[in-house]
Amino acid sequence: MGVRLLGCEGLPLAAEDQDLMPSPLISVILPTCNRTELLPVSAGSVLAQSWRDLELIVVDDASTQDVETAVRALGDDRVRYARRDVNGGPAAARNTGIAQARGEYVAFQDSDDEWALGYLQAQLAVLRLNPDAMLGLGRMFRVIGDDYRVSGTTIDGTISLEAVASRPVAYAQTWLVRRQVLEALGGFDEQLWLWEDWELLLRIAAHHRIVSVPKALALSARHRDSLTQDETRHVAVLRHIASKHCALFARLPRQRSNLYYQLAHRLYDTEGIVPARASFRRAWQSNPANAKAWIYWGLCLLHLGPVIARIRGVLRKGKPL
Amino acid sequence: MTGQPQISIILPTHNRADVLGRAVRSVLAQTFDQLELIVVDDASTDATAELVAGFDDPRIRYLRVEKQGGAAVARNLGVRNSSASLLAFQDSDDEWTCDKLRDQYQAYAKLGKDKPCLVCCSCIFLMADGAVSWRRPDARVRQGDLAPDNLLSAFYSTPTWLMPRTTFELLGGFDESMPNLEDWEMYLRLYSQSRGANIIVLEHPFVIRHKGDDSLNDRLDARLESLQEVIARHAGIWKNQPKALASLYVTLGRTQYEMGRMRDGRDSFVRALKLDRTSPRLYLQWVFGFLGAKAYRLQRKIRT
Repeated sequence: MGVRLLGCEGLPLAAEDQDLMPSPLISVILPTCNRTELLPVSAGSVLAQSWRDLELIVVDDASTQDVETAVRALGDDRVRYARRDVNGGPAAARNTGIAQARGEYVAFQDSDDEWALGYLQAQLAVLRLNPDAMLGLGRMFRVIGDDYRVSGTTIDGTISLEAVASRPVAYAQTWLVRRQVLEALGGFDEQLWLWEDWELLLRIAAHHRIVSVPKALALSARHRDSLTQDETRHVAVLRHIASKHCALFARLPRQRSNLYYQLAHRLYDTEGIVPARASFRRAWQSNPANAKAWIYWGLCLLHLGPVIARIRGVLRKGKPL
Repeated sequence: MTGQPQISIILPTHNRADVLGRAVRSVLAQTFDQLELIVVDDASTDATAELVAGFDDPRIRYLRVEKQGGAAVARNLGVRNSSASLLAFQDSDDEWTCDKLRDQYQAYAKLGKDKPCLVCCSCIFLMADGAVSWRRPDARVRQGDLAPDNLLSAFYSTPTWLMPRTTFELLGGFDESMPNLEDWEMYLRLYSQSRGANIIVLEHPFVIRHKGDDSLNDRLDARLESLQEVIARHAGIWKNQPKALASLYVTLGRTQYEMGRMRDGRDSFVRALKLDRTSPRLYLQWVFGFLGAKAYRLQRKIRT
């Protein structure tokens, strides 16, 4: 896996030159696979941040388009280009960026998203106020159909492991995290092509303090969420996470129940009633108070497919996963 | 940028040096870079001049007004001192996402040039505590189907505008006598054009409006005065649509209740009732005017 690192001029950065350049405080990692037409906006929102002391590492995940030219066209000294010769997905691409990062803190941006211009400043302000916190969690604004959702919270304070484990929602584009933590944990799990950010956040939350940053706003208004499409992937990912973090979820019965519940729905869509039923059962076994798990388990037991479809239509209407 | 600017952005400002940098930077960071940015300093006494001077970008210009005249005066001055054929406006509190001008320019290019035009977009409101709100423009509005009954709900204010200079000149600019809502007033003049107008709203939120809670009541006061003035001035628009005019008086009445001006609020609801006797809710709202401001706020809180 070759990684070429170029400076803004397009000339290869020699190792000694890299050491001589002063380290920025924040490294922003932006992986992209093609999508060059969106780069001026996502990279633009990083480069226009009120906090100026940053480097932006655009990681080209083996694109077929000419990303390098698009990166150079940004015309900013703070941009660096790194290329992966083999496509590895978001997890691997971000890890490539982390390996190149020189900042004390790391943030992530996606090629089709944006930040409000005070994002980094808001994150830094909160992390400086909380020197024992290792990660700041901002908010993500998304358009869902006619409506919108904003992840995260308006309340300042610690975000517990229980809160993180409760739902697979953890946009890396809303983080600011100390680089040493990422390195110690080995970065993102490259076997995951989905929810790799949630999985890493679980590991961080298990050992470190995470704080909320209500004023750090990221925007994902451009595209409808396409993650919901391929449910077979969801099944594989949830299984992988459940087994990898067996010990962690063993201590969190409600969260484990929810995990099995989420898995069960996707199993219903992909593998059928029997595997789904088993997973609903594990859900109420982990948390007997999980009424929905009981209900769906009962419906599966009685093979009442149409009733299940009707209830899901009503309960899950418009709700993202 | 090479050559002449294609879009002139006018940014009136008064003593907002604390946030102005963000507004300026979001304009200079636009992917559509054939622009000039004219900052009209409306008699600021803070570090506004130094802040603007600190930007190393040939596209930015600074105009100073020595005697404070308000946003309408400042904007008209900025337009007179600009050169591009398209106009946009920015406010000191707001920021734009990087693609605003490019997407709006593309939408404008598709409009017929036989009528005066305006391209708006939706916006995200960001409160001081971090709360976020957004409303998707409804289908009628997105298609440019404006009618007296949606002229207030369909209104998106100046930081979202892209307007040809010819349209601005046809309308005669902002009304300098209005302390507030001068942009809605101009919008209504555009709508009332005998030739009609092409007004479209892009649904993507290209504008983020930061709302502080500074002197909220002062602003409400100024808006009330202006709202009544605007309604009176453009009553003709709603001549054949009494219900639509009634809903405007409802908005006015609600605002007056919020401010504790119960008698004024009741008067507004009476006006609304004269135009639309069929709505039971209007009677209820009028009655609330006798129960006092606290009761009104409580029922609002319960309902939301």
